[in-house]
Amino acid sequence: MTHTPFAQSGKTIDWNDIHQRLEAARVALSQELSPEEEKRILKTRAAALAREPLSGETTEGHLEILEFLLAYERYGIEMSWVRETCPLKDLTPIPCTPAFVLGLINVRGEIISVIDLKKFFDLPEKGLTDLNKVVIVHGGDMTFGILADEILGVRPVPGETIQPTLPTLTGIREEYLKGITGERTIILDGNRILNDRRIIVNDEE
Amino acid sequence: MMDIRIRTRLLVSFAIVLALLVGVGGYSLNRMNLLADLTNDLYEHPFTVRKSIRDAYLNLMQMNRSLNRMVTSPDSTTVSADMQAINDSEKEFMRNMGIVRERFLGKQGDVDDVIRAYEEWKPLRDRVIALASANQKVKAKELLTGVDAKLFTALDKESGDILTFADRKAAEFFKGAQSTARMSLIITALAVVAAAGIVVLVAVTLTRSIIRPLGSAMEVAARVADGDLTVTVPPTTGRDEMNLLLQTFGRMVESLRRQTMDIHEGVNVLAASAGEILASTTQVASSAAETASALNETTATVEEVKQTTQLAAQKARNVADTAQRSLQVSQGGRKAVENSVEGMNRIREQMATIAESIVNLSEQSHAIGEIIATVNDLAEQSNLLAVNASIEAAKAGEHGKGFAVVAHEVKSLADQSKQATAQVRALLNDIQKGTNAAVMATEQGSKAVEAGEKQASEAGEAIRLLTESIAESANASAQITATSQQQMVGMDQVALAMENISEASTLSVTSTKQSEASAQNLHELGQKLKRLVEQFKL
Repeated sequence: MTHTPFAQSGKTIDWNDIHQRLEAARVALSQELSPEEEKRILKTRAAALAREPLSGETTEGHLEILEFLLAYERYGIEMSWVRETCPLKDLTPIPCTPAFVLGLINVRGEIISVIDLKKFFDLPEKGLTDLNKVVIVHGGDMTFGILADEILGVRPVPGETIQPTLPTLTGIREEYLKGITGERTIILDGNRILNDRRIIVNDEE
Repeated sequence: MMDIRIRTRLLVSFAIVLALLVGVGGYSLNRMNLLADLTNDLYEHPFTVRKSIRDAYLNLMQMNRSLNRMVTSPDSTTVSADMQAINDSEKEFMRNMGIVRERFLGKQGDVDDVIRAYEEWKPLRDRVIALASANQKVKAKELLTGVDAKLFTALDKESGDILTFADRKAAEFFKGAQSTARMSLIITALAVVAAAGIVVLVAVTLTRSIIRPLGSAMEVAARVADGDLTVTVPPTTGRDEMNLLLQTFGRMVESLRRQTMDIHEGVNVLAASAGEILASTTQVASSAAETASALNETTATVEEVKQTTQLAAQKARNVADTAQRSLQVSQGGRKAVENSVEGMNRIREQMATIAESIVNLSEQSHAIGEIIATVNDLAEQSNLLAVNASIEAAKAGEHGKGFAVVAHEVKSLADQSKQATAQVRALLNDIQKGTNAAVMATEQGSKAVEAGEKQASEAGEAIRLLTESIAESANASAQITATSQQQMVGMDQVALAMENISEASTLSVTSTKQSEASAQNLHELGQKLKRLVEQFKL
């Protein structure tokens, strides 16, 4: 809104221009997509869909990962460990649990605990984030939800692009990382996370 | 002697001289008269007698010659002419003899003898003539010769007596005249000498009686002329004119001394006064010159002031016109301000409408925002659903591949929806900001319009006051114009008057200069008079 008339005191108001612009906006708003346009868009989309997937997408060297954002960093996890994703709602905090355990949620009648990887990895807090998505992972008898800021989607990653973790990444996080892609997506090791004893809260200990 | 008047003295002296002159002159005249008588006698008697005798003798000779010619001439034609000549000579002879008879102082018988001789000769002559006429010439000739000799002898004798007597008488007369002249000469010389002595005596006496008092008067006059007024005239007691003159002269010197003293005092006063007059006149002249120059400057200044006044009058007229125009302009301005106040009111109303419209727009965009939130939620859910679908497809393995594609597509749609909603939200945010800005701007505009309205009102009031002031100014400038017109007229009069004054002052300067010169002259005159008076010794 840089064309406020009163911000331009001293200049004459070009009412013709304003009328023309209003008219253009009105026309643009009231414009329905014509059938030809609609058909063209659909055709374009169909052509895009009908395109052959990238070569090697289905080969063994590729790794299907689910990408999500957490604390402004992209994380990925192998699809084989992912059961589903769901929005975070009706979180029930549980007292007397470690800080990384946020609470419990009810997913279609199933009670699933939700952990916060940031706390688990002792990442420094970098401001508040959305944290309104949950990636439910399971492996063996272990099922829990990982809190995420946003689910980016599923995408294949070529195995050769995965590099070992950086030497700078030290501490507890190093144990749970499988590698890092060229796009700097951190691939989590689902097996280790799911089988880590530290993640299991045992009252008796 | 001293008591006799000079006139009397002069008269007496001149009478004496005149008497002497008359005496001597009368005597001389008498003697001269006597001499003249003697000379006259000498001429009238002896001399005349002698001359007449000679003439008569000559006449006789002529008669005789005519007779001779008559006788000797063979021609008888000339006889008548000769007769005539003889008659004429006879008459002449008789006349001369008459004179002799009359004048002769001697014995008359001598004269009668001559005439008788002639009478005797006369008949003979007539006979000769008759013979000659009768042409008997020889006879006549003979007769004539005899006659002539007789006649001339008698005549010579008689006339000789007369002549002798006449000569004697003439000598007598001459001797008398000579003695008379010598006598009178001696007597006249003596008389002249005596008269001269008397005259000298009288003159010396008269001169001395006049000169002596005149000399003392002259001495006094000379000293007075040299300026010595201290001189005193010797006192005299005489009664004649010279003594009176001396006495009068003494009085004159006395009064002259008094007057000169008075004049001296007066001249001193006059010189001092003339000096003061000169000084004051000089001062007056210089003052007049200064006044004249000051007047000239004043005149020039008045001229400049006059021009300035004309300029001022012109300016005042311009100002009056300008004030009139200003009045009209200010009235127009008042109307314009009233119109602008009305316009401001309308603008304020419009502003309120605009603000309301904008608020409505804001509310509507808020509603749009809610809708967009819902859409975004839907998109989120769609996204999750798509992801789950992908997961499910992955679980299904090779069979789920097609489904995986669909799920991917759904996810991309969901992403697009999310992006679209994000864009819409951004736009809505912009709209919100814009509307807020617009509302604020409208508010500011409204306030500005109110301020403008207020200012316009104030301006209107100011213009109203200004109009009144301008009206007053217009009136005042009209009055100023009239006044300056009068002033200009007055300045014209003043300039004219200054011109006259300047001319008068120039005249005054001239006359003061003349006065100064006159005073200078007067001063010099005073000094001169002083010097002159100081020459007198008092």
